[in-house]
This record gives sequence, structure tokens and C-alpha cells, in this order.
Amino acid sequence: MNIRILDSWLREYLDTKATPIEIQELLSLSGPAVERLEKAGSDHLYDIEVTTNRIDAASVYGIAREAATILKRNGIPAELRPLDTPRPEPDKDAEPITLKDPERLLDRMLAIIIEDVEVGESPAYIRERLEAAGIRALNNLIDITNYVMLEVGHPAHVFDLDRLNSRTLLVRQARKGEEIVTLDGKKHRLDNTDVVIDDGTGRIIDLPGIMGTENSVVHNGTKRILFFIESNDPVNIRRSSMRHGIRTMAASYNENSPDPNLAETAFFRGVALYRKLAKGKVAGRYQDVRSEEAERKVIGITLADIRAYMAVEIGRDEVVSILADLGFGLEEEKDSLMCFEVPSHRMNDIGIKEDLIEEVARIYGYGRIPTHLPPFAYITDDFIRTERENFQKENETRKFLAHLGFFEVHNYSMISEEEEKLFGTSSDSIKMINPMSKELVSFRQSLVPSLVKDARINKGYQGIMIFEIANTYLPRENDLPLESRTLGLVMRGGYDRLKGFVDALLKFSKSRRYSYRAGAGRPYLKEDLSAKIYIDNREAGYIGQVDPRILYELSLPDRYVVAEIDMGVYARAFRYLESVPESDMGSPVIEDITYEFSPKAHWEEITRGLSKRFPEIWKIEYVSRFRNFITMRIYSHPGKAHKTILPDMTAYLENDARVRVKRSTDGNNK
Amino acid sequence: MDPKKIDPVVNNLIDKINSAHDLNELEAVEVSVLGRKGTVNEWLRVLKGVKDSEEKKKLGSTINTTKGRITRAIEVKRRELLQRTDDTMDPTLPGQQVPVGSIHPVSRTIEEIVDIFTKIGFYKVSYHEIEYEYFAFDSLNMPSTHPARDEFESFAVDGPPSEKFGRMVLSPHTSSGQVREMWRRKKPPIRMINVARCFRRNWDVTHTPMFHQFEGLCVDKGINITHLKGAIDFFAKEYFGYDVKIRLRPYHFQFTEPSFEVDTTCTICRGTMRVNGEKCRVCKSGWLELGGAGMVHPYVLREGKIDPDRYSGWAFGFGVERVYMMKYQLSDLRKLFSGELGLFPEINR
Repeated sequence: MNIRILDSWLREYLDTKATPIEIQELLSLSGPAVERLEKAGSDHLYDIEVTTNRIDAASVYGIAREAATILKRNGIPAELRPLDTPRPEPDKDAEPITLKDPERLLDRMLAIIIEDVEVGESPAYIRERLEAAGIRALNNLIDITNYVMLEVGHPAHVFDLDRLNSRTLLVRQARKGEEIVTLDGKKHRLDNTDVVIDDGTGRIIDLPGIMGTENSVVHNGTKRILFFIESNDPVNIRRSSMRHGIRTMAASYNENSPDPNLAETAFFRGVALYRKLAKGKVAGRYQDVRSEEAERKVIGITLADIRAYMAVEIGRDEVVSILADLGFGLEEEKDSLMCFEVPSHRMNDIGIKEDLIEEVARIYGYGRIPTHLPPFAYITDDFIRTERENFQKENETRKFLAHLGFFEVHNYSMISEEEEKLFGTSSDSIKMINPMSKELVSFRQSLVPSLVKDARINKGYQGIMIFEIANTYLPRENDLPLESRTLGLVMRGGYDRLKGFVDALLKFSKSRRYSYRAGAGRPYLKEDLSAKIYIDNREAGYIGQVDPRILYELSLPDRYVVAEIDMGVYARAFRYLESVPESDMGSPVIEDITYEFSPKAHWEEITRGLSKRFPEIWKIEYVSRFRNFITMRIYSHPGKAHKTILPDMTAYLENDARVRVKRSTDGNNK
Repeated sequence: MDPKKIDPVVNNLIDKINSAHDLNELEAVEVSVLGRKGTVNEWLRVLKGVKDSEEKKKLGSTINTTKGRITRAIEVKRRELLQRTDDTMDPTLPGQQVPVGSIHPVSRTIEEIVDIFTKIGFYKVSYHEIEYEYFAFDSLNMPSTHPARDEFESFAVDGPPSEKFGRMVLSPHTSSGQVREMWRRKKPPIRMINVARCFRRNWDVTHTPMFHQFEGLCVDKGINITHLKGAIDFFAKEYFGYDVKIRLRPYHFQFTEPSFEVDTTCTICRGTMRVNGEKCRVCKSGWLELGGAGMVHPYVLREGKIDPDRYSGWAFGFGVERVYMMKYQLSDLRKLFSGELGLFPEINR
């Protein structure tokens, strides 16, 4: 949370010649961060970020206390001025209030009756300080509660005494369904996790620590008030405040456990202000009910511990002095163990010796701690090795694709349910329970919908060549989804074009073998213009032309081809170098065969069959395609016996592979 | 005429043919050899004058073969020259276009970051984006009742919850990898850089609901604050420049004690607080926030099954997009993930 306090207010408790800039700088380096320093007329305003563990610094007095210690340690004299908090003696008699908390829901309650109050506008300095802090000044009665909260650091509350039905305040759990109207006019339905104050007749008159109720709030005609401060259970405060959406400054304080001792300080201060500003008369003794004894906390630490963490040979005296300045008294010192008592305002934050080290180190100055590189450790770990290699291969692949002309994108991990439906990608995808937008609902099991969307966004550009490497999320039984590294590509144009790039990508991997099988079986592709990819006999992905019906829905008139490759399979097969085989077989015989395409025999099967049947074949190249006719070039080493295997190959193709051979010639076209 | 003398001449001619630069040159050679007044016709005239029939036969055959060779050479060269496109007259005109793509700035930044930390012995891992509550919060000393959980306005995911580890959430930070890595390694040394996508409920000019973080975790015997400073200082200098300094300020995280916020020298004004004579509008007094860090809280070490009395560690969590933006200007962060290729200025060159 942030608090905004005026420099003039701070200096009521901080006696120093330090300038606001010096205070900002030094405070931020050793304590709460002053995020902004603004000029406010002839005054200055500090905008301070208070972390959840330092609620003791969420007040003028708390900041003054920090600043006094820090400025002193940085060579600028500074003293903390005490808070003037006289114990309130009664001005007249009155029937006492009865405070009941049978279930011990509150740690402490302080209550006092003040009569003959004069409701009016607060004096200018009070209004200025409240407004600067972002709190609206209303009337003196309410303003004092807010003023005291900011000054001392504990929320306070005021009731119109005459609007209460009795002199009893009962703290209880709300009943399920009980309704209240808070003083901002909003209605809330409570349940038994909410703590309320009942005026003894079953009527709820406060949601303590969070917000008061309309039925007991002070107004212009108020004559008698009940000034009340309670110490709440932070868990209850947070739960109720979050559930009902009542995020007041009081709630922000109370959910971070302000010091119950401070409740008393705030209480006495408040009474003094009611007397002075509202001309009130204290009626009867004040009530102070504590359900628990204040606890003591002592933490032991050695000089060696501190020195080890800071790597500084800090002296014992300096450590004791710093901690003393912060309110930590040295209880006991036995051999090398020093035991410090934690001051009540730091009880919630300081619990272990590391907390004490932080106190010493921050005041000593983090800037004074030396800088050393962490020691090198040679870690031999196969998991790490594989991770490193996969990451490197991924980067190699990125560069390869970029050099070929592809642009890399990073798309969101989720897509809309609408996109899922259009592409028919998956119905069992993991979904967000409360998504931020309907565009980000379902976790992708395929990168294709996002890539096609990217193609659409960029359709103004000449060529579309886009890729993405990201996780796809595959649900698993009784486990987190499998986050699988996937490469997706999209290209505008004919199938052949992207196929060429995919061929190149596979060649680039130097995998032992890769192949295609017609028909990818994906609902968003034109099935007869799609193929599955296999690397080292593992299914590795697919390529295909996007179904024109989908493109039509998206108003994309051109042809688009996509491919997806499992990077895990790809990386596994990827090699940077390979052994060079012996090749003393001499020049190969080169022969061309042209055959007619048949849907029953794809290139993949024909070439695989030929290679298997004729071990003399060294390699088979694709030459060209004209209408339905495909020409292949076969390189072979027929051996001494035969001069050529061309007739045998032709016979095999016609009889076994069942394709019609149109023409077969030697490579020199004779 | 001695047939043997024809050979070197022919080889010369064939060289001339093969080195013809254009069709004009080739035609000139063709005419000089095969034309009416050409070399071959010269030979034929000589042939006519040969009396001996044996000699005549031999010479005739040689001339024939030679003419064949020359003709073929000319044919081949002509085909080659025809295929070649016309050379340009203006050598500064753009050549045949070759497509050039690009790697995404986030990918490149991650590569640089990992590279820097690898130099000092760290290794990269990538833990879960969809994680269990236990690893994302509870193991980091953030039980569900603690206000510190407020800051991480995270998203709930509809997967099956785990009995041991709670509900499935989208991780708002890479710190969820800390205890995971401690369990995986079983004991120190740990020198982890966890790079992963994170998710938070913010979507405006400087925030996207999805972004990347890198988490450093160093656990060993005798690790202290100096090592935290050392590692971060090393990164800042390697990534931003050797003139850059860092400073630590007190902060609070549930999973570190002490906790710090780390600033670096402003990368725009280089700490001078002035840019082109005017006040630097980017930084606060010459410093820019880098991210959070701290010494690993003993609670977290214990959850990681590591004895805090024997070992200690430091951790930091910085944003990938953040460090990228500290070095390069990007007016709207959303451009990084919108899919627009305008993100790559070179696409318009």
C-alpha cells in the first residue's frame, strides 16, 4: 500500500535539518521506498510504498522513526520527537459501556464516551493533511479517526452513541443471511465468517476493522460519541474485506496486523484531539479489554551469522547500536550468542534470525556490502545437458528459418472458443475459469489457429512466411497438462512452396531418416493435400493446405499452407555433425524414369519400395512434374554383372508398384 | 597440311568459344570459324589440294570431327548464354530479391540472457506455465490467507486439482520453479535460470496478460549477499554496458529474507539524469527498476528439502520484456504479442 504524507507533518515528529530530497534518497535506500516527492505549495509531499510486512511504517510516526535512525547513520543529525498521548481522565461521570467478546474474536478493544461534541469542519491543517493523503475531509468527528490512523498507524472508529440501542457492545459472528448497510450506502449479505459488532439488541452497528454501518454513523446533529478502537484478526479482516469487495484503508491496515500497543497510542491521541477540536468532554473511564497477554519475542543471533551473510567484518558494538536504534533491546549476551527482544511494533514482521540480519544490513547500507561473483560449480546433470542442447537446437532452427525468410511471432497461449470451433481443434482443451477476455480462454493444442490469425492480420504484406515455437498444452489424467514444445509454420501460396521449406528443415536436422505419408488426418486441412511427417520412424508432425472453407469464413481469399512439428522429436533426431561414410564405389549410373501418378501409389511408397528391392540404388532424386507425370532420377551402382538395372526397375514399377511407366532413359538423355 | 597441327588450333578456338562473354562475342567467333571466309573453309580448300587419297581421307575425317566439336561447343555455349539473364546497366539497382526473415525480440533477448548466465556457470530450465498452487504460492511462504497473494492477481484453470498440491493456476511468476528445482536436484549446488511464460491480469500499453520472466536461483554452501550482488551486477554490465551500476533497496517478498528491489543505472541517460540537455523523463534520479531479489527464505529451503543450517541461497526474478525495453524503445508492449509483422522494422525496408 502507499501512503502520502506532508513533509510539515513528518517534521512534527522528526527533528532534523535534512532536506526532503535527502530524506527521500536515504529513506529509500535503507527503508520504505519514497516513490515520489512532490512539491505542495511551500510544503512537500512524500508518496511512500509500504510493503505488507512493514505496517509499522504506514504512518507519520512510523516514517519519522525510520528516518531518525537512517539519517543519523548517514551522518545527518536527527531525533524522533515523542507522540503526546496523555491517559484520558474523565471530565464527568457516565454510565459505563459494556464490551463483550465471548468468542474472543478481537484481540483488544478500547472504548470511551465523549459528550457535548461540537460537530463542524476540521481546522485547515487537518483537512490539508487528510486531503494530501487522499482522504476526504468530512467533519471533525470522522476526520479525527482518519487523522489518528495516518499519524499513529492504527485505524479508529467513532459511533453516534445515541444511535445505539443500548450501552452494550457485543462482538459476534454474523449469522448466515444477515444484512447490513455500510456507511457508503451499499447493502451486504453476511455469513458466519464475518465478525460484527451488535449493539446488544441483535442489531449490527459495525463491521469492525473494515467499515462502519449507516445506522450508527455520526452526523451533523451528533451530540455524544463513542470513540472505539479494536485490534482485529488479520485473516478475518482480509477474508471479509475481499469477499464483500470493501477495500478501505482501514482494511488495508488491519489485514497486516498493526501493533495492538499502537491501538492504545492512537486511542489516547484521538481522545486528546476530540477534546481540543470538538470541545468534547470525556464521560466516565475508558474501557480496555485485552483477550490475550502481550507476547514477548526474543531472537538469538551470533556475530558470525551476520558477518557470514554480509561478508563484512561488522563490529559487535555497531550491530547492537543499530538494533537499539530500531527498538531492539539486547536482552542477554552469552558467549557469542546475542539475544534481542523484538519491539511490539515489529512483532509481526520479525521472527527468525534472518529478519534481524536484514535489519542490520539495511541500516548498515547495502551499498557498502562488497560484490563477488558466485563460486563456479561444475554441475554434471543429464537433464540439464538435454535442456541445453534442446535450447541450442531450437535457436539454430530459429536462425535457419529466419535466414530462409520467415518471421517469428509469439502468440498468446490461449485462443477463443470460437476459433477452436472453427478449426475443430479440440473439445477437451484446458480452459481458463475466469478469463480476462474471450480471446484468451482455451489453451492451445495446435498453433495453427493463431498462425492463421497472424496471416490474416498481415495480409497486406507481399509474402507471408511466419513461424512460432511455443508450448502446446495436452491434458493428462490426474496431472498437469503436458507442455510440449512445438514449431508451427504458415505460408501463403501453393502446397509445394512450404513443402520445400519443410524438406529443407528436415534436411537441416541431419536426422538419419525422414519421410512423409499422405493424409494428415486433421479437421482443418484439405486431407488430399496434406501429409504426416516422420523422423527416425517417429511421428513428428504434419503439413497441409488449410481447408478453404475455414479461410472463407476468415475472409482470406488466397491459399495458405501450414505445418506443425514436434520439437521434442525434431531435437532428438537433430545432429550437428555425422560420420562420413565410405564411398569408393566409383561413378554411379544415372537413369531417369517417368511414371504416371496413381492415388494408390505415392512417391514415398514407390521410392521406398525401389530402394528396398534394389540395394544397388544409391539415391533417388525428384526431377520434375508435368501434369500427372512424375520424373525421378535414379543413381545406382549395378556392379560388374549387370550394366544397368533399368529394365528390372521398370518391370518392378509396372508389376509391383502398379504404376504406368511412360519413359525410361539414361541420365544423359540418350 | 598436317592434321596434327589442327588440334592445338582447335583447342584454342574452343577456349575462345567457352570464354565468350556474350552472344555477340560468340557470334564473332562462330563467323570467324564457320563463316564463308572462316577457318574451316580454309581447311577445306587445303583439303581440295591434297593429292594423296590416303592422306586426303585422313585429313577429311579430322576436319569433320573437328567441325563437329566446334559446332557442339558453340551450341552449348549459346544455350548457356541464352539462359543467363541480361546483365544490368545500372550496378546500383536492387538485385534479385532474396527473402530475409527475423527472430522475435523476446526469443533473441532470452538467448542473450541465457548466454550471459551460462558464462558464470548457470543452466537454463523451463518450468510449468500451468502449475499447482503449492509450487506457485504455498511453498513460497504465501498461504491463501496472506495479503501478499493479492498482488498476484492470477488466473484459475479448470484442470483436475491435486490432493497434495492444490488447484491448478496459471503461474504469475517464475518463482514457482524454485522448489521444483530443489526437489529435482535433491541437493546443492543449484545454479538455475528458469525462463518461462507468466500470466497476470494487466492489459495496457506497458502490460500484457502474458509475458516472460527469468528466475535465478543459486543454492550452495556459504552463499551470501555478495554473491547476489555479484551475479546481478555481472548481468547488468554484460547486457546493458560496462558503465552500468546496480543498487539494492529494501523490499519485501514472502519467499526471501532479506528482500531487495534492484535498480540499474538509467540506460537512457546513463545516470546523468539529462538527455539532450533536458531532464530524463524515463528514470527516477538516474536509476531504473530492474526487478526483485533476495536471499532464499529458510521456509522455502525447507520446503525444498534443503537444510537451511547447512546451505543458503539467493534468488531474483526479472522480466524479459522489461530488460528488452530498457535497452530498446517500444512504444506499446502489446505489439510484441499481437502478431503484427510491423514489429520488425526491416520488413518495410
